[in-house]
Amino acid sequence: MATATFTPTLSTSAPPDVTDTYVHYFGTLAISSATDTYATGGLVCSFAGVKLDSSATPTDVRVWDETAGIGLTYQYIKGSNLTNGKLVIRGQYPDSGIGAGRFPLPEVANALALNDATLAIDTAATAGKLKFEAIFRKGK
Amino acid sequence: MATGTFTATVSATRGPDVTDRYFHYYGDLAVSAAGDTYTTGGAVCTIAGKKLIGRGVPTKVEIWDEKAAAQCAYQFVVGSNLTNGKIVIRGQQPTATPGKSGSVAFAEFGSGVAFNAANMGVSAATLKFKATFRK
Repeated sequence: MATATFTPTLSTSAPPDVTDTYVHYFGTLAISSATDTYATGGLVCSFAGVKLDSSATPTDVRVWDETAGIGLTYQYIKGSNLTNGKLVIRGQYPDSGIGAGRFPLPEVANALALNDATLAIDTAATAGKLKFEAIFRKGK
Repeated sequence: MATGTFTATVSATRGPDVTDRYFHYYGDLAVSAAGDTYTTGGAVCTIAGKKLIGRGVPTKVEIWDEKAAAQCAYQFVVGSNLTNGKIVIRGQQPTATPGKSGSVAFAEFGSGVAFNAANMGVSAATLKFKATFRK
């Protein structure tokens, strides 16, 4: 059991899209191991092993889950290069101990195993249903 | 009252956007009837529109509500054809059992609950979509 990481794989059925200024890459995210754990601040998601035409950091990465069963949100935090961006995972708070009012969405707890039954974070990635769209500027 | 479905109709006035390899269609989502009910795993959604062209099923469908009240989260699960994709609806569930993490997943709309159920307001939403298809 170690700190988990995500590895992107480009889709073979959804090729990159090219617009005036950007290239949009589509694919799926795999996890290092279902028993690996979450780390506060997000899990490293390296695009280094992906065959991209650009070596720059992405302008934006959107991640979504296409399974019906799990309701979590995914936020990509850009790094300084292709190898050290991070994926932050959030859920909601139950009301216990929180009190009245509104509050931001809480991050998954540090050291929680991805296959912990509480959140079953591994489900979508294991099923190949954790998808991404990574947007890179042309010529960078 | 029956099992609810959605129909995604491509807009006749907001033309599709065309990029190098994809068509991006925009339109509105309608529920079958306000009193129809949700099913766990998602309500079936048919994508329709006379001008719809493109290959197979969508690569991605984004859904949003343009009304301020009663916001839910909408997730499209791609099917094997244009008539069997599903829309999963979620909200928060403040009474859910706290997890070890201090957070829990967002809860799916209750099975058998009507779209016009109080507090959720799915039938009153102004639902829009963007569907991306390969050329």
